Amino acid sequence: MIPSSRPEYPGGPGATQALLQVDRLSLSISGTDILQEVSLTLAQGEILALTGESGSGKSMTALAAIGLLPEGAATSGRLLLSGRDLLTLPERDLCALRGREVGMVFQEPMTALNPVQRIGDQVMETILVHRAMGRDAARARAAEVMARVGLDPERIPPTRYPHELSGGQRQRVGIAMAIALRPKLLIADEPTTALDVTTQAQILELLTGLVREEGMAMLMITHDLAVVAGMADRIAVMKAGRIVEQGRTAQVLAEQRHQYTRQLFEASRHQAPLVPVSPGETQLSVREAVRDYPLPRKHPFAPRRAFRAVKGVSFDIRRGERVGLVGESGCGKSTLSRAILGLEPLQAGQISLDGKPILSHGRPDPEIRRRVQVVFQDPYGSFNPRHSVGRIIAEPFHLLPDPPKGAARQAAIAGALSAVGLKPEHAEAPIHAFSGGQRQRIAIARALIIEPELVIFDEAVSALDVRVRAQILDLVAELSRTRGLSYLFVSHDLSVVRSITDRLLVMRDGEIVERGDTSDVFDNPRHWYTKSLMEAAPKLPALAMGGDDDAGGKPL
Amino acid sequence: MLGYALKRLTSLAVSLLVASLVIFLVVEVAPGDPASYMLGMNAQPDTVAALRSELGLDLPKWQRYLSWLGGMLSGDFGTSYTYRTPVAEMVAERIAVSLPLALYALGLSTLIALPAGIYAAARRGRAGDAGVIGATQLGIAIPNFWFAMLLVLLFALKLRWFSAGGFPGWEQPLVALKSLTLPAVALALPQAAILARVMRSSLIDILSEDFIRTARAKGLSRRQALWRHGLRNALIPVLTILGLQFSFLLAGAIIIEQVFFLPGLGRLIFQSITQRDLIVVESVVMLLVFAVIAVNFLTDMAYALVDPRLRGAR
Repeated sequence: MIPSSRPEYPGGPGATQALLQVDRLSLSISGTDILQEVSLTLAQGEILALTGESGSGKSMTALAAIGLLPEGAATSGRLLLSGRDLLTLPERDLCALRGREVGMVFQEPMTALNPVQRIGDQVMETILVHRAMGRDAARARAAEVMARVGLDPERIPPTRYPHELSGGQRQRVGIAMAIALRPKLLIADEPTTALDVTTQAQILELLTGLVREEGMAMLMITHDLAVVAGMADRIAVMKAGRIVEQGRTAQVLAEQRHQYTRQLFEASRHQAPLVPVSPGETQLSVREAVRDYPLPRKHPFAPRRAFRAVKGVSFDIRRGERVGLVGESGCGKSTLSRAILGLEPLQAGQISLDGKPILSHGRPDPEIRRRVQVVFQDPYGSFNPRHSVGRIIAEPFHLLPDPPKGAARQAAIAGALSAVGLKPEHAEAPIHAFSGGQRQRIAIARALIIEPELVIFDEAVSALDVRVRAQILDLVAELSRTRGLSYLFVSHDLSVVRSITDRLLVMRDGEIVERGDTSDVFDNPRHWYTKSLMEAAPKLPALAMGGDDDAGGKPL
Repeated sequence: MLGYALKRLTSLAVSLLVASLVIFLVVEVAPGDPASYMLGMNAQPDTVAALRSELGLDLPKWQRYLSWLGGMLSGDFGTSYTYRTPVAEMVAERIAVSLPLALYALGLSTLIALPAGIYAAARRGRAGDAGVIGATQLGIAIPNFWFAMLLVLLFALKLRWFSAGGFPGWEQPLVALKSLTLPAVALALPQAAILARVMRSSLIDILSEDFIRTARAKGLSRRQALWRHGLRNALIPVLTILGLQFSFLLAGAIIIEQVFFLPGLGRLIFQSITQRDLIVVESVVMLLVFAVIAVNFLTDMAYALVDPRLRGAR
């Protein structure tokens, strides 16, 4: 099942004159080597995906290709665009070339647009700054491109400001800016990483369509192999500043000659070893939970309006159960998990643990509260950077009426660190000495130290590279086995939830639209929304070789 | 935008009402009876009582509050206990000095600070930046009365370009303006130093934003990206500081007024407090509160002009 829904690019490298030719490019920034002897070619009309984990140098390669390397970057080698070496081109010529011959789409649509300028003006600016045409013609061209990227002028007129648009719409504006002058090369740096799956599918389709129709070449930077598999002609895999493998997409995915490619691939399809459990009595009970957020009044005397983020949701988690909660951003899943933690008041309904309400008189009951712990997406942001790991982990002790002291406290910290695969001596180290995966382990240790009965993982692996993610999922599975931990795993990523939960809740617009055993929901989704989520999620092809084909053969 | 303005206006009116009540009460509970103070230590009790009733001090508090408030609304600020002249006249005379001086100083400070801040941010980490940082450090550190005396020594006594102090009135506007120049410079310097720092750091923050990189990817040069995309986004904190500075300059110039013998609002308050001229204190403080709140309102409006996200009900 190699992806072949789309015609292969006819020539491949070398068949036509290469548009972009990177020739043994090395880059160091203030003495640190970032890229080492990177060589790539990209022909007209071709899509090349550059993939690898964070810090592998893929974004720097992209910035080099548009001449936007940070100050203090020292380069060697050549980077030819239509025969001109961007590494030696003066800044003036680079300015003339950016936007006109190379366009770039960035990852974060929320911050990539100027918040105080109308979107139409921002698209027009690409045209005007190159003096490509007069104001009126530029305005017409901007309108044309915005329509081309799917921004309906009736609904999203060019007079809108970025904050009035959704993430997907903003990314469309970003694409319109990049293609307004029909550049020969389009660079897309993780263009869909910050978007929901359904939006991601639309943006990927748009990008591929544009490249095919306008005859552009595209350099696509992504960490997601499934995205790569669906759209690229060729793949280059980067690791630690080097390209370790490159070739035709189908070939690279099928052969996986380099060990690292194989690791990435296996990690992407990783199934955590969940042992079957027989759930005990009801532990968490959410009954008709309603959460309203007040909206600002239209004028001082207008009636208060409210936005209902959670609309009467009910579900139970039984002892030892592993439940997934999926949905797109804004569906209310984070509000719901905060409410379970007692961090959000409810306007109606009740949440109780072992029959006792989480909130008593509007305040979290500490007795109940300490039995539920949470692990967030960005561990670094939830740690005080001045504290040692030991102190960070011991934080939840303040929830106990009689926290352990002295040797007992040290023993508890050591125990929690060992449980997550770290060493007791790590307790003394400062938090910034740890990698992203280790930090997430520390966050889990912090959640475990007071032996909670229920842990909420709120997008806990979304920011991690695939290999680290696989390790953390294994850890979660292990904790479920050894401690009989029940958890609620909140994620927008269907493949993650599938590998780590028994039961699944699908949330949309503040309501749970589908629920059931995880495998049933995946094999036989009933609600249209669940179906659309599953269809939109990028899929890795099953492999001809590589052993365990069971996981890859399923829809996800 | 209209809804936003209406909302701000409502909060402006409420703030003023609350402020007037607080000021009235604070002045009421302050020790010292104006009537006995005016008549001296040896006054007869019945004379004091007569004066008290003449001044309206024997009326119930709420009635005096209402008549004070009503008078303010109609422009009648009452009569000074000490000078027996209408407060409105005294205040108007002083505002004719203080307001132009504040505006003059604010204009100067903006003219110096914004270019300096932008220049430093554009040359971050280079010699020009270090120069601006050093200069602002100095500007903040130097006490403004000492700087004012240096100005007098150099420009008034030695070079004789400006007069050393006093204010001739507005009959000859240019002469008046000239006599306000040294005080305005002395006031503007520390303000400019603070403002330049705010401008610099705000712009540096903005220049590391993603949308600046997007602008560069469109083909804008570093300078174009700074002017077209950086500046407007960097203005919000600058506007905040400007608003605060104006309120400060209006009444906080008391030391500079002393150094230059200027009949400004600051000196008026100082004198009135020492003379227990409570009606003047009340009125001037109320006026200043009004100025501060009005400036805040204008600052809010300026925010909305700069940042579309603040317009309309969010």
